Amino acid sequence: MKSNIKKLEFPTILASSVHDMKNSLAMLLGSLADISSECQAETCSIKNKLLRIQHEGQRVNRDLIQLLTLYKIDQSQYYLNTAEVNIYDYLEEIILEYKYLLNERGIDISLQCDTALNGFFDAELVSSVIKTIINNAYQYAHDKILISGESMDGFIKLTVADNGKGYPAHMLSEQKTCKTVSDFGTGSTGLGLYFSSQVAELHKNKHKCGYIQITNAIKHSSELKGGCFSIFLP
Amino acid sequence: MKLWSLKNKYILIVDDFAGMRTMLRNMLAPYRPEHIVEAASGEDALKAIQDYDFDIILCDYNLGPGKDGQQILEEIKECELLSYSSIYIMTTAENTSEMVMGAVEYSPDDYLSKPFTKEVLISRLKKLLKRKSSLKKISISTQQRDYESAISFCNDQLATATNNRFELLKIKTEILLRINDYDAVEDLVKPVLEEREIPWALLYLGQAHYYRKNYDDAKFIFEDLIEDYPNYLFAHDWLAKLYRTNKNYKEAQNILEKATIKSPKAIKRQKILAEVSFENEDFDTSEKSYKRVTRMGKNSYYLNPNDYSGLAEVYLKKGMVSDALETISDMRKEFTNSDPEKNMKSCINEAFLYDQLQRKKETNDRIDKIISIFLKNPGTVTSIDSIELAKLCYSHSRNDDGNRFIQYAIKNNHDNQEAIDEIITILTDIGFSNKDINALLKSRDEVIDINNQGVKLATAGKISESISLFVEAATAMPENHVINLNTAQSLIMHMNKSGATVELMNETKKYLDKVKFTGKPSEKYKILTMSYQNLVNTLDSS
Repeated sequence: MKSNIKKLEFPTILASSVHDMKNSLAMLLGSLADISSECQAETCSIKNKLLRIQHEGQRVNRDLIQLLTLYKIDQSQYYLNTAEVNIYDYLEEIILEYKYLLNERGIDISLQCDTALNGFFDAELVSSVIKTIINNAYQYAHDKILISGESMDGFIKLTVADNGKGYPAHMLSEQKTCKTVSDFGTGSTGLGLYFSSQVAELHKNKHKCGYIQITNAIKHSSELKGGCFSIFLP
Repeated sequence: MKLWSLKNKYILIVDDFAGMRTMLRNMLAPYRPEHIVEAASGEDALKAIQDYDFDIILCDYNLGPGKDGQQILEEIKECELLSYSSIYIMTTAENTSEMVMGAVEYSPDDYLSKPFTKEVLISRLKKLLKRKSSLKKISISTQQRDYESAISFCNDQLATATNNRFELLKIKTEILLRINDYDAVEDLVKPVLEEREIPWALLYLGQAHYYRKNYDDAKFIFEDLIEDYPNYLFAHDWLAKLYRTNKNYKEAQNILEKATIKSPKAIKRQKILAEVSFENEDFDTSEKSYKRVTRMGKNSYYLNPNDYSGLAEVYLKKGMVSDALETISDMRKEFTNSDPEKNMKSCINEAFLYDQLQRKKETNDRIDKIISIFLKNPGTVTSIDSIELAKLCYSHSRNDDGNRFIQYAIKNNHDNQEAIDEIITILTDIGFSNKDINALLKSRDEVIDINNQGVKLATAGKISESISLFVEAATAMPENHVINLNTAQSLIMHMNKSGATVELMNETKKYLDKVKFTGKPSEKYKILTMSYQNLVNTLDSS
């Protein structure tokens, strides 16, 4: 018997599954934030476990976005939505989202940026890069994360630095820039960096192309000697 | 420092998911908004928007079956249900980039990707409220069609702008396009493009070329845009428009088909595809598109009798008479209880279709009905339709009715020589003698007499009498610029003397809004809107 049901295309299945999962996650994370804010560390024995669940929830969310975006980039279906962004406001808002979770874990997150600095890029896409990196830093930072934005040689440079133990040597040696295949290995950090480099490369202006850079020290801030991630956007 | 709050704010939350609505409500409640309304569907949202003036609307994009967040936005913008100061935020679990590029006419003030925290939501609201108030002066003067002031406000802000320079440049370019100042558009946009290739800047440059009939330059830009930004549907629309202007219906259809695949829910584009494929004599595509439009447009502002008559015309071309008849009766059913203009438009379309079908009795029945509505409410017939109706009446030997519609068209356009010449040509073609034509043109003198009388009464201080004379005239010739402006003027004179009331202000605005013009408004219109605004200010401060 011939089936009358129209076969769905994989991208449709993927998009609608991710959509559904993100709706559930929104509810889950929203409820968790409510519970967590009612539960004080001194009186609540499960506070740490709650924070862990919140963090993992955020990670699942970031992974889902990555998954869908990478699929679209791979299929050449991703179209940039480039718009003017005030970098200070933009980074401040990203920090707002993570501040609570990081502070509860004893990590201090701060921002260094000129309030009048503006850039042009796909805000949503780039913010998922920054958030992915913050998610990683959550695991590796000792007690400090510094987010910064600056203008450098016609690029906007956005940096996430922490004072953890830094990137392993093989990752530092494998990083490549624009128009080359990046291989950061697997694992969540590796995939996150791969995602970041793909996003950076989508950004182009006047024959310049975006790229990422990872180092283990940050020049202008001597106190942070951990991993340092930068995305350069033309 | 005063604590930030949502005091006095009316907020609408639209989401099909009850849990999500509650969550959003809980995020906002601590900031003490005046009122929060929840809606689970697009239909409920539209009802709520008709009942309240919301300051903030948080609307989910994907609302399950029925209208989505973009369709709601378009509908309320088209119906002018949203004040310039209101904020519309699209909340979404999808990636927003496709929505941004796919948007037809209107984009929301902001997108928020789910999941978002309370802190992010509040921070966005703060910024958006601040931004709206910084653009307030520009929005108000644009809304009042006082474009000169709007441009000078843009310039003032550009001089000190730090973080919204491109937004201001975009707004300024849009105003320049409205007043047809295409050279200024080019001068403004070119330096922007040297800094960075921005789709809107390219699109507006292309439009400037198009309007100056530099079709090759325009085409080049639109094609480049489509290649570099395949999801930028505005570029598709403009390229199709260009092809259509150059009567290349085949290419126009081709472009629109590509765009409608990417935006299957955009009704306006679908309508244009239906028209263009009809012009291209691809009646199958036209049929399909019209059917889509009538199906999607159900219960929406967008649905128009022309969508049904378009479909009926397709059936006539395909020789499918019974389908055409059925479509006509669908149209009747759909618009009988609709607003008076749409009901009238439906009657007119029915008359013309029955005429094409050579159904004499039905045609005459429709004409009778049109005239009975027209006599009670002339404003339901446009000048353009009235000329066509006159031709129809003459061809059915209803000369008195034909004259009635011709006189209506003349009165509406008494000071527009181009329109009058067109009417004379039509009458000559039908076989009217010069004597008959001149007799009909007498109605032009009538208008001049009435106008002079009204002005005389007003200058003599008999303002109330002047108002009633002008209001009566404006009802009989609702498209006449001179009469509408003078009606507004006599109302303003009255209020300057005896004080403004909300009712009289609304009445005045109604006449001012009826004055249509392309490009720059007339001096008289500018002076009147300025006086009107002064009255608004006195009313606000009292």
